[in-house]
Amino acid sequence: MFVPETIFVEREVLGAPMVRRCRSRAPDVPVVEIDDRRQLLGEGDVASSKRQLVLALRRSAFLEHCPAGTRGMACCNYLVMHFASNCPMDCRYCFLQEYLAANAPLTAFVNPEAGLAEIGAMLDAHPERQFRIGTGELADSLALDPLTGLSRELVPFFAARPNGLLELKTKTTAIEDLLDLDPCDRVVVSWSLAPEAVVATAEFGTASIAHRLDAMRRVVAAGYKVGVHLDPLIEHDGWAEGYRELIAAVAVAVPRDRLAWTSMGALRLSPGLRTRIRERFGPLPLLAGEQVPGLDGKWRDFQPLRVHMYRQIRAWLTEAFADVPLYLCMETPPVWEKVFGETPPREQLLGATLAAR
Amino acid sequence: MLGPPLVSGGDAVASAAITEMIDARTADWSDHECVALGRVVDVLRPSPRHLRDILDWLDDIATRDAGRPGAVLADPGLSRLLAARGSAPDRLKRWKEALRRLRYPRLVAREAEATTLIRGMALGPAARIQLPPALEGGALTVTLTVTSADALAQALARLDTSLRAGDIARLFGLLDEL
Repeated sequence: MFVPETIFVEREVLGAPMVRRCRSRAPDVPVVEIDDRRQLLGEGDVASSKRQLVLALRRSAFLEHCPAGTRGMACCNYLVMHFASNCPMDCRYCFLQEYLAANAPLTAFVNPEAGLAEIGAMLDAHPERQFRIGTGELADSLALDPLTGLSRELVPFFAARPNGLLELKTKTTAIEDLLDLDPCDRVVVSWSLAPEAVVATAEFGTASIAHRLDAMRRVVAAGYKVGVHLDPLIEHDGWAEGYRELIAAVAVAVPRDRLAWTSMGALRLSPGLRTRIRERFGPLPLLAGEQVPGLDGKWRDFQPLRVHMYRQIRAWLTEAFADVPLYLCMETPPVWEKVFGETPPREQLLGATLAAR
Repeated sequence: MLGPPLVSGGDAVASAAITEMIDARTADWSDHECVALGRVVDVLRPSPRHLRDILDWLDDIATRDAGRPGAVLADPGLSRLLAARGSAPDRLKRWKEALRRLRYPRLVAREAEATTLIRGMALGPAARIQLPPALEGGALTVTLTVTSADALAQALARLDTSLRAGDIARLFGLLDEL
């Protein structure tokens, strides 16, 4: 469980239920009252910002369209909610170290009821549509859950909504709050997975693969469906064997009918992120692959190489999980066509297919 | 750390940027490695942008090969180009191309294979086939430049010959998968 060195609380929300819960779950952590989280911007570096926790009011919208479908990329019509910002883990490739560089304090927003009201209004306004909504864009969905208990508010909300499917995306094993809730098949708990060699060298502070697989088993036993994201795919010595063994391990851990979807995504690094990684960590094998700028300006393994990886891994996924939907994240339609032999479905169709799982 | 004599040309701002970049990026380099880099900068006079590429690639190659930037700089092909005649911009271009071959061996090999295939098609001066930059996107650009109907017919006939011989399909195969 993540235990912050200090908890900063905006005075305005001192009495919020989530604040009380955090303080009771981490009674030994010193608490500092502040006027506004924005006064912490620019203080400390990325690493130190991950060791503190700020409890604050979210003053802007919680819900937005996933940005992955922009600039010529195929889209799965995914919506994201921002109940937190930043992450206590420190994956070397994580885009947050650049994206949140000027807004780094690890923050849990303590007014989730406002976010749920936003979502409820949208779901109610479009009862004929199926929505797939995730909380893992600017934060790990579960990393702060042992403190905030947010899932105890999210799961019952979505369990009662026939047209909203919640995805909790994580690299942790912080599932305890989920286990006594009934998701009514409206909540998917997804894990980002990579071969252990990648975890050891690039995913600092995350749970081991063995522990993630064990957590998968436990949430499945508690009635949840799970998702698997092989994203980012990282080429390394023995990558093929690593991903093949990983998929085999998932197949043992998760019954096929409890797997909602799988996805693959190439390692993608913006030029600014590459610079940021070099500044923070120096030269890394992660940066030494044959990556080139793509149509959206992000660097990926050059196309014939990543198509090779996609096809190989897709074959293993299809063999293990024949009927489970598989999609590519942040990839161009031509690459999608090379991997699947057909053009990507229109975003509404793909989104609806996944949301109906 | 390298001293001021490293930069022999360029404006003061670029020189300062280069010195600053080198100081920041070579803090753990040996004296021998710094001298080797200093010679590269002195001879090729890269802009800050080119120098950043060079430093990135040196680090990347060294990391990938579990070696040192100095070992990359000692590559015989790079050393030969550094000693070659020609203008600084021309030598910088060729030296960076050689470094790129070390940095992207599979990509460059695939590009070279495709370029050889295109040359072998003998399309003549009227037709040109261009590869996508870094093979990204998978689309070939075919350009026809003609001044008469006969020239167009001839260019199309040559393309058709390559098409029927399977050369174009082989080209797309090279763009498809490693």
